[in-house]
Formats: sequence, structure tokens, C-alpha cells
Amino acid sequence: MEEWATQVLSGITYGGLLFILASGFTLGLGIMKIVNIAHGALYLLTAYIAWSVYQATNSFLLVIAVCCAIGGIVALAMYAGLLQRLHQRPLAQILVTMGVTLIIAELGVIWWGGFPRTVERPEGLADSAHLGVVSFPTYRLFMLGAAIVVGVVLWLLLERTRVGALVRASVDDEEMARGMGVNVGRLYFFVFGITGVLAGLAGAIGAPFLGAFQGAQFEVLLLALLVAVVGGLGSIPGAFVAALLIGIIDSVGKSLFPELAHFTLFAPLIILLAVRPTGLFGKA
Amino acid sequence: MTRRGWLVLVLLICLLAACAGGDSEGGDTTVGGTDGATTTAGETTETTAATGTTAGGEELPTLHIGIPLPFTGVVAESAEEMRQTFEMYVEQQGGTLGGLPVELTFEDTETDAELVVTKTRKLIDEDQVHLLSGPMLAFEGLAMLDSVNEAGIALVGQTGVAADDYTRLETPSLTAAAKHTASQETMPLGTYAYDTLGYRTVATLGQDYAWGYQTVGGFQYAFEAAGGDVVQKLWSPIGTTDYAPYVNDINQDVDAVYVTLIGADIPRFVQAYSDFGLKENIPMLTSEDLVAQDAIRFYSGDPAVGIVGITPFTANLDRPEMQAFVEAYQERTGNIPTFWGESSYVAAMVIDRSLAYVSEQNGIAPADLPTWVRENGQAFADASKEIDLSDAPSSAITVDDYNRQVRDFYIVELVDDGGAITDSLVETVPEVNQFWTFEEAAFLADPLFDRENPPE
Repeated sequence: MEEWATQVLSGITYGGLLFILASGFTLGLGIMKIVNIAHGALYLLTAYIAWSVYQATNSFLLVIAVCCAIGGIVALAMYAGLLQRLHQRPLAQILVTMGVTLIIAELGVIWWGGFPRTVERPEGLADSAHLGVVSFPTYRLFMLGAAIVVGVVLWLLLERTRVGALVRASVDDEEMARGMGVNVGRLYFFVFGITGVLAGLAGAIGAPFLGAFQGAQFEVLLLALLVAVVGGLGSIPGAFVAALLIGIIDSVGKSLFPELAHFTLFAPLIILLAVRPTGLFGKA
Repeated sequence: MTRRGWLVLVLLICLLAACAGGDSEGGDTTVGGTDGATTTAGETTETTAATGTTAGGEELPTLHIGIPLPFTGVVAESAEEMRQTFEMYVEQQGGTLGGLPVELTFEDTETDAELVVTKTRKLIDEDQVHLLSGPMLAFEGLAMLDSVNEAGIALVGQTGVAADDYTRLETPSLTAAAKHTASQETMPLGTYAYDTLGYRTVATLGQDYAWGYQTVGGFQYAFEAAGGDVVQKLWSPIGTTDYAPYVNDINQDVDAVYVTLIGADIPRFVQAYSDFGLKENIPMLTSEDLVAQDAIRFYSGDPAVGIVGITPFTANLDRPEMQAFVEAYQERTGNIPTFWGESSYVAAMVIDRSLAYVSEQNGIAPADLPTWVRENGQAFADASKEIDLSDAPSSAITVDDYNRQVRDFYIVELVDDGGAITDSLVETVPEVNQFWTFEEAAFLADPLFDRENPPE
């Protein structure tokens, strides 16, 4: 019983990290229809930066602030310089963002070298917390907490603010929104900036767990894609539920069938897409 | 989203899954995920001797060596180290090997088994190299084998020829003085765990491919032969992002846990092992992978302290040859070398001394030596048995009938040295051969270690 509680809790907290990794990606994909392959590379870049900032200052709060800022700035530059011209052209976007991925990864090698970097867990989050019968690593609980905060903030932003209403209107009928005087271009610029901030946050929070290493750009992108597709493209609640679900299935699955570990990660995707091709919360 | 959009997405997922899950047959390496986004492409380095003439003033031919290494991909940094140490040895000999000026052609295998074959063929057929050295990863070594045997060319092995398989191959192996085998490394640790540490039950965790099977297998073989019992064996795929499920599955009643992992999985596992409180209660044993210098760079802080591992190489070794090697490499690059670099350095040493040996034994004039080497691959490979390798950096080395190394291994413990993690020598296990204390025939009669073998 105790063991199962630990496994499920591991799964949920891992799901929290998955949500943070995926939220920016699903936002860009769902709202702007941009398949941002460079999402994983933004993770990699900000995870490297997280390492450098933490080495220099030992302040995890500063790590989060710097990573979010850099993630946002790089995303905005990418949008203004490249993606703006490729509106509604998914294949061109995939190729361009793939190119950005290769460039960022190469810069990572040049600046940080080819060896993986692991960020130390910040003080106060490095221990274990006692929850009733089980003792559980604090950092994993922090990941789940951060995921809940990110999820709620994003949901409020999209559903309860004027900007959110404009975004939703532009997604539903772009021409009409333009006709009503909404500056759709500026709105998309803003939204893409947010996806970058979220990627930066993923780098800051993910670095002590996953590490920063060559290859992370694709590993993270794959996880983000998985969550976004299972949750339904663009749906924040969908991504949240999907992330926790995938986390639990992965954790319990690895425990029951340890040799099928990669399969347990993808099994939910296959089954769900067969039954419900639009994902959990996706619109047809 | 349109039907076509979905198709693109699904294709993308397949592609990424292939990328992220790649290298599942990877060798003894630091593969984390994979990708192809790093450093130098295939290139040629020429190191020509300053004095390319014999005493008689006649011009000496150049010995051309082909070296395929994965300069692109997650192991790029270590491949670069291997290039550096090889060149370092050549420079220390005044730009020659065996008295001949040499030309080194490094080819980039991009950590791709198919490309290894292509590049090997290119080196043999197009560049007409006289002999090969390398590769870095176990799967590369196995992939090269056919081309090497077909051409009858000698391969002076570096780290990529560590699989146990070579000893059992029916075709003669042209690999010379290659690395030790996977199980050769871990068998002494199995015996040590029972006899010296007094452990009776052990759980194992390894990655799901050849190097994992054979290192875990070797440990278990010797540990159980001594009287111990491996009660649980877990296998995880390379690139596991979350190790919590495995850590929580480990049987908590065992005396110790034996682990072999590579790449970015190492810090993830070590962190999870500490997070869930196992570090306090169950000691961790490992192969070279978790205690080597390049793994030590992964660790952040306390979780790694106390890991006990067996390794052929430790830069802290109190041995003049090692200290000279470390100093020379540090002077050259500013870094501390690892077993990767040493393996390549020893390969250069083997070529150097084998050339001198075959030339003297067979009375070959220096001018004819390169052609002779190309045409007599087997004889050249076998020369490594006869040469003196007592001054290799990490240990005196002799070579057995199968062209595998007999050498010392070091049991080390990771300690906190004023904030930095370092390895501290616990015990030296001298002159270990690939059959350890077992009868050769009996050992070879047992099946090759794999997923099911030996059973729990």
C-alpha cells in the first residue's frame, strides 16, 4: 500500500513537470497553430543558463527570473525575425524552428561544452517531506505546486481577462477579430512571448531534475508533444490532466512492467488517439 | 486541426521517438538522448615527421592510420579527448610511430552504426589506410567488424571493442590489444562485494542493452560463485527521464545495489536514489561508468558520495606513468583525462611498439613496413601479444590469447573533497584477465551474459 502511494505520488509530481514542459508548447500550437520545434531547444538553453546563474549566485529565485526573461526574449526575437513571415505555413515553421534548434544546441556546445550539466537542488527543496506514511522528496512536491500555479495563472489569463478574450476571439475567427479592430499581429506576438517565458520556466524548474545536456532539446520536445496531443491541442486544462495522467501511467507502468518503460509512456497516446483523436479536451 | 495536420504531428512524434530513444544499442558511453548537433565533422589531421628519412638518407614512406570516432553527438567531447591523446602520443614520439612518419585520418561516425560502416569502408577502400584504430562505442565496434575482417586489415581497438562477444567469435579477430571486456571489469567487484564487504544479497539495475547485460552479468556471475545471491534484476532503457519508479521498486531488504548506467541517466538515478532515502540504507556498487571522471562532472553535491565502483582508470593513481600522462594532457588541454583518452593513447602505444616488433621479427625494411602492415593484418594484430606495455598510464598491460588486455583494476569510493567530488582508491585488484578466477573452458561454455542470463 505504502509502495503504491509512493508510486502514484511520484507519477503525479512527474506529471507536474511534464505540464510545465508542455504548457508553452501547447499554447503556441493550439492558439497560433505554430509547431514550435525550438521549444525543446529553449528548454536546453535556459537549463544551461539556470546552471550558470545558480553556480554564480546560488539563488533559485534569480534563476527562475533570468530563465523566464531569456526564454521570453528569445521567443519574441524568433517570432519577429522568422515566424511572423510564416503565418499559417506549418511545414515552413517546422523547418525554421528545427534550424533554430540546431543553432541553439550548437551554441550550447560552444558555450557550455559537450558534458551534461546538473543543477543542484536549491536549499530548502533538497530534503524529503513526511506525508503521513510516506516520506517524499520536497523538490518533486515543488514541481507539482509550480505546475498548479502555472496552470491556474494561464487559465485565468485566457478565460478571465480581456486579453484572453481577445486571444480566444482571434483564434475562433481571425478575420472577424481583425474586422472588429483587434490588432491580431500584436496579440500573437504577445502570446508567443508567453510561450517562451513558459519554456524558460521549464528550463529553470526542469534543470535540477532532468539536467542540461545535448539531446535534451528533443527529449523535452517529445514529452511536450505527447502531453499536448493527449490533452487536446491548445487546451490548458487538457494539458494539465493529460500530464498528470501520463505521469501516473508511466510511473505505475514502469513499476509493473519495468522492461516496457518507453512503451508505458506512449501507450496512453496510442489508446487515446484511437478512441478520441482530438485528445482529452480538444475541439474537433 | 486538419487531417493533414494530424498526419504531420504523428510523423513528428514517430521521428522524435526515434531520436530520443536512439542509441539503444549504444556502447560503453555517455549517451543521454541523442541528436546530431555538435562539433567537428569528419576531417583529416596530418602529423608528418620532421625527420622522415632513414640513416642512409632514403625517404621513408608514411604510415596511414584511419580512426573513426563519433565527433558529432552526445559523446563528442570524449571523442575529442581520444583524438587529443592519440595525437599527443604521436607528438611525444617526435611525430612518428615505430619510426615511421604517420598520417592520421579521423572520420566522424556521428554516433550512428550505419555511418560507422560507411566510414570504415571509405577509410579502407578510398583512403587506402594501412591500419585502423578506434572506435569509441561498443555498437560501433560490432558494426565495423565485418568490413575489417573482409579487408583483413588490423584494428587496434580503443574503447569500442569492450563487448564480451569478441572472445566467442568464430572468425579470427583482427582487433589488437583491445580494451578489457565488460564482464572482466565487474567480476572482481562481485567477488569483492561478497568476500570483503560481506554482502550476501544484491539487487541490480542496468540499462537494457549489451554493455548493461554484460557488466551486470559479470558482477552477478562472480558474486553468486562466491556464495552471494542476486535477488532482483531491473532493466531500464537509456534516456529514462524519471528514475523514481525503479528506485521505489528496489527490494529494500538487500545488502547492496549494483548499478550500471550511462549518460544523463546517471545523475538522474543517483539523485532519485538519494531523494527516496535509499542512499542512507543501501550501499551502491557500480562499474567504471558512475565513478569515472566524466561521470563525476555530472554530480551536484552530496548524493554521489559513498558510491563504490570498479574502474580501469583513476587520474589520482599514484603511478609515475599515470601522473606523467595526466600532466601532459593537462598541459595540452587544461582538462583531466579519462579512461576514454587513455584507451586511445594506449592504442597509439600499441601501434608504435608493434611496428618495431614486426619489423625486427620479420626483417622488414622500414620502407616496406606500411604495405606489409596492410597485407598482414592478422600478424600485426597478434604482435600486440609480444610487446611490452608495462608502462601504460593506468596499469601494466599484457595481452591474452584473444587479444584482450590483462590489467589491474581499481576499486574506488567517491568522497567529498572540500566541496568537490573525487574518487579515492580503496583497493587495487592486480592482473585481472577476462576469465577472472574461473576456468576458461567452463566460462566460455556458459552462455553469453544477456537479459535473462544469469537468471535472478
